[in-house]
Amino acid sequence: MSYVLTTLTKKREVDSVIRDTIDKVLVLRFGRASDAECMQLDDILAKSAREVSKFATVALVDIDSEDVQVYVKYFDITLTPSSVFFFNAHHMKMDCGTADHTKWIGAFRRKQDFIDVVEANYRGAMKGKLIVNCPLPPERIPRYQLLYKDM
Amino acid sequence: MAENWRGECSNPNAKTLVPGKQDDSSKKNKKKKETGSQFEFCTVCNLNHDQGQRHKYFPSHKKSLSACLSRFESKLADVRFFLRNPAALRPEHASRNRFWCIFCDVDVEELGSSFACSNAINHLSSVDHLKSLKHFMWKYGGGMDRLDSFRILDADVTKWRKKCATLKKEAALSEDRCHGPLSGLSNDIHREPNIGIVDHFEDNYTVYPLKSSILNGVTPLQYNTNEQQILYPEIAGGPNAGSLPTKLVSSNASLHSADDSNGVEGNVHSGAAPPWLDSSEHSLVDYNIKSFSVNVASHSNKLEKSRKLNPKRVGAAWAEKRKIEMELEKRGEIAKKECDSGWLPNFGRVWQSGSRKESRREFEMEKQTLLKKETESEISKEIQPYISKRIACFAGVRYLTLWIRVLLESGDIALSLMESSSNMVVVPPALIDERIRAAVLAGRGEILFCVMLARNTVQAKGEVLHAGGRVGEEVLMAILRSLMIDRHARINTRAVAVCPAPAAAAAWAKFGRKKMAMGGQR
Repeated sequence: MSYVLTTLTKKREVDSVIRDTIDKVLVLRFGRASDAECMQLDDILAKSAREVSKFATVALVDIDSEDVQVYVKYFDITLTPSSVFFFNAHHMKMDCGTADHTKWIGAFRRKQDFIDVVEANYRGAMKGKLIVNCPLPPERIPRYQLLYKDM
Repeated sequence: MAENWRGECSNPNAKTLVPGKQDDSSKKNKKKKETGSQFEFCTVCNLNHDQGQRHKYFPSHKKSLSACLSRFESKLADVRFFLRNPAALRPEHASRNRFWCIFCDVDVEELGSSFACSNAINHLSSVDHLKSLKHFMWKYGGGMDRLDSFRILDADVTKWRKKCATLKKEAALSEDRCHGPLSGLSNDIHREPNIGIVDHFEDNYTVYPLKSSILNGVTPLQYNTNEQQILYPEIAGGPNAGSLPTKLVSSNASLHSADDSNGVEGNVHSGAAPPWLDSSEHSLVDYNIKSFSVNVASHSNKLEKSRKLNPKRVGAAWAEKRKIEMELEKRGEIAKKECDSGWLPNFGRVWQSGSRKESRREFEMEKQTLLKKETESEISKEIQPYISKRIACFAGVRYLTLWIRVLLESGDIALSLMESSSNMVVVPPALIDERIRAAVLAGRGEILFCVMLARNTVQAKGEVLHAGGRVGEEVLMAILRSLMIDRHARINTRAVAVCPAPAAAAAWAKFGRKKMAMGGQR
């Protein structure tokens, strides 16, 4: 559990965070705080939250809470931890060379990776782009397999 | 290689459009045949090309040319301003007045001139400039109709000269009154006539006689630079002359005097404006005035632009709306709206293609179907009277087929029985005997129980029990209960209860739902 970052358990809270973050990238991490990879991600987020605070906000969402299941289904979250990026209540997609462009799955290797990703999102959003390219080299991007839901 | 590629690109009529397929020698020959010219430098596009005369018709060149010419025209606009309103040139500002004439490839500086842009004006009206202008237009395809916009006509020049002469005379006159070095009207070209400043000057009218007296009396050592000495003669002459430049001068003077750190002129007792007020005006003046240093203007523009957020950024409209809402909420004008629970952000889903609105709609539909499924599973299945033909032909007996949907664990036997037909109640023979018969006897109704062993074979192992009349609700309940309780009986899970009468149907329904809750899902 990260004590530095706000953890959200209700849909209403998530809504208010999304709507109140204006002109800043919002990073919503969906995951379980007890999971090892999630803990790693939380650590990186907590450390770099202050550094990106001028152009980004970070919030954690607990996947296990029932209120948030709507969002879990809406965002098609199946692998944890997943981070979804928003800008001005619009969802920012990022092409990392993986199957799923709508979110970032997994943890980041280093703080700088996270900062680079958020910066890329911010720059693209400021230019008016809804999808941005990932600045990280492929070896630093966590790989996963995405199967169709009924399989 | 690069040359060859360019050669290919510039010649759309080349037979092969794919570079690199032919060998170099043939390409070079082609190039020589097609263009036949050496490389020349185009000053407009700032590149070397071998396209010869064709280059000036290419769209990229045309674009660069129009950009170039418009830039030059804007510089000329400043010169033209001073053509119409000649003003004296102060030496330290001369460096800002020079510009590069692209046609003549020469730097036009204001070195020894007394008036602003006089060198420039002279240059632009000269015959040499016209010649080089014509040559440039021919070479770079500028359009010969626009020649006049890049030069100054003789008529204008003569007018300007006359104006300058009059100005000089006035300056000379005003200087005669006071002792001071002659410098012409040391008007700064940066001081544009501004009505506000003129008013200000009139307010300070009373200051000037004082100043002149001071000048005559006390020492000039108080004045640091040359400019002060130049100014003060004009101050005295200021109120008298009504012409534009002197107004400029006096306003200039008032500003400078106020700016002075020594308190001789412009202090509280003399009633001059405080220096900070004047300095702010000073800066205002600077901004309002056109200057040759376009860099300054553009730089300030850039600063202002970067402070505003890009209006094309993602969600800009939403952000603006939301900011206003939040402002109002803060002030308390609008009560904080709790967004409805159905609000979803704009999200493009993983497995949907199409726009984000579509994916949201699909999600809403999915949600609804999910909800429907959940509620449906709670309601028991349709209950309707059904009399199966097969059963009806059974020995002519009127059968009442019971359909029971039971959710219990399905054993193998039950499964196989299920497969054959679902319109039989499967009751293990053991059970029929005791409880059920008693229940049936207690109530009233016709019930057939049988055991199905295999597909489509009915072994009427049960008994036809007539209880007469309609099937009683309690009886049915009792039967079913007995069936359910004995889990070891491996009752067919898919049998359905059917009742003829609506009252009984309700009973079945109730029973079915209860079972649902107890037994859970298969």
